[in-house]
Amino acid sequence: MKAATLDHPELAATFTSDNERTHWHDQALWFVRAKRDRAASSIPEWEYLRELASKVKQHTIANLPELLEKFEQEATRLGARVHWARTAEEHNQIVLQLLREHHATHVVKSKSMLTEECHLNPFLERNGIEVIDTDLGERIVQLRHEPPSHIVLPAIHIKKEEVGTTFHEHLGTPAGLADPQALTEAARVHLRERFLDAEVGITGANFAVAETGGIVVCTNEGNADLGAVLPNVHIVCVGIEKLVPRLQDLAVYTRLLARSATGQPITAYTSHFHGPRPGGKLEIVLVDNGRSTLRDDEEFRDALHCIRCGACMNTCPVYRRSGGHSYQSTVPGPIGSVLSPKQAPASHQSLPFACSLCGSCTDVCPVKIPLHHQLLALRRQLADTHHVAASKRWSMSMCAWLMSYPRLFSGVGALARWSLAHLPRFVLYGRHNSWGRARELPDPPSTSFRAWYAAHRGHPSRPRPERSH
Amino acid sequence: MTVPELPSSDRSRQAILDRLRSRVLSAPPLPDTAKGPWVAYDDPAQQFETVLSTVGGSCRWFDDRQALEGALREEFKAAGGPTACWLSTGSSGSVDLRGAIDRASLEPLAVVAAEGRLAVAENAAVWVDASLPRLRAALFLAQRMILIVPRSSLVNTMHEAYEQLRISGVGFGIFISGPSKTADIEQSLVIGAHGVRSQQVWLHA
Repeated sequence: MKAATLDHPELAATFTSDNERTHWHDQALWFVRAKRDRAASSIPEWEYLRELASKVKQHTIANLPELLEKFEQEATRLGARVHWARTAEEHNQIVLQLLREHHATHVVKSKSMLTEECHLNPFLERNGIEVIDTDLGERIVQLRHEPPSHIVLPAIHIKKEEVGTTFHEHLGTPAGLADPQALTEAARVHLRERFLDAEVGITGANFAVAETGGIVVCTNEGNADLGAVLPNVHIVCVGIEKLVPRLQDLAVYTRLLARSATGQPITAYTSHFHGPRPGGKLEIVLVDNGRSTLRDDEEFRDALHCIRCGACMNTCPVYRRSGGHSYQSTVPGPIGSVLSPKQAPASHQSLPFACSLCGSCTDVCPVKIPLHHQLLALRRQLADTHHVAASKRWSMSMCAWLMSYPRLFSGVGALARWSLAHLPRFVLYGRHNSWGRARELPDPPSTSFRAWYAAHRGHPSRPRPERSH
Repeated sequence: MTVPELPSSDRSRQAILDRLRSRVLSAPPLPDTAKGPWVAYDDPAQQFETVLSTVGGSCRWFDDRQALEGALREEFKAAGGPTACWLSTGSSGSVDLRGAIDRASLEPLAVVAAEGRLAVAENAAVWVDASLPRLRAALFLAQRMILIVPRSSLVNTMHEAYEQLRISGVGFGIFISGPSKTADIEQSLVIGAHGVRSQQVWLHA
């Protein structure tokens, strides 16, 4: 069923073994979550906006073929070329061919979760293309040969001292330099050179507008814009679910996106690309890679609404304490725990269980994806298709068996109550008890609920004991 | 080097569209996103200034356009490096923004000034039409940026802004809210990530 993949609990255990770091990570994300709350509450019509955002996306996903054709038609009219990729492999091939067509060997890339999903960087590097990630966080993780651990804050798991070490090694900053201002300055100088050298800039897209054939990219650093304006060729890689029908719909999403992501009122730059710049080329790659399959699934279709703000991660008590890498998935956190198992259930089966079903993700999601309901539904789906771990399967069928024999069940209950009260700690908290690793087992009640019920409510003929209050 | 054919993008196109069409979905009608119960500020100018300061920019107010242009000349004189300016009333500064992008003259820019078409009170964003390639490059390469907007072009929200924009042709337009920034290292806010290190919006009557 599954081979080399590590489960979320195992990877999370590695992360949480450093208590101080876990706490630091938790606090850093909670800080972002608090900023999001302040930003959201500054807009009186916030809930109305979420409702609109959800409805517009529902409409878009339902009418996707027509809207994609409209987008293609308009973008082509403006002078862009539109390419279609069914899979990640096709996407990578298209990008490579475009680079060859434009004789490019140096590429600057701004943050794009889609190209991460398609593993574009390693593919291009294998084919002799130098790819430089230009978002500061992405550049940091690229230099450290790590994947991003968060979709908006790729290097949120790394401490400034560690960034200092990485930059000392690769950019020649003084040893021991750990001041974010100075480190950012060093990256600025280093990356400017790369922008000026590159023949092609690759960006993702936050939105593609069917009505106008335009692409919208939101950044704070300005890296996407430098990457798109300085080289002659701009390649945009965009998932087919990123469409919005009309220009006016952007108002809804630009109001929600940055407030949900980082608590800013809007990103510093919200760039609207309509056609290539004079003398330049604009190549747009539309990518399916499993999106049309997800669209077929009524229960999970709404996951396609995601605008990749990261709010569900920032608020998730499990994500905050286990770190993005424990998910082993391009998109971590609650939304990633829906998307990845839907795409590859065998390797991501543990993710929907990395959730306490607290529902906070659903509450903050700007496009109203019912995340915790989907996570619960996914558990059922994974169990039905035998994708859950053997230990879970066995214990669940044991439980089901036990519960179908009332006498046996009550006998086991009595045994459990006695054991909790009398067995020594080393037995109760042995290796079998993973729940008790970080928690205390409850105090055993003196009687079972069944006995209590029989005494108090069981026989209507018997008068109820007076309530004492 | 021989350039191989693109992977059969046409076939993929048809396959994706066919797949999507094989499943007909019902959905609510497209709601109106232009009109709504949007927030309206008592003093949009005040709101704009407050928000701009929280995103790292700052405001200057001028009684009339003439006073503003005088101040801009002073600013350019004191810039300590090449300057460029693109206004509807004419351009100034030491670097011409017409023609093709040439990095050598744009990279050292100390200040770039440009006209904004709209200013949005809720998020301090200013819409700049930067279809001119050199202006577009200058907006990101310069060290400092000044955006010039008439006070009358202030709107409350993004809905009003997009209502007025109506893009229909080739071009590049951008909402700019504050200077370039990052918090990618331990959530410490650093101004001046890749683009400008300081940003001002000059509003005039």
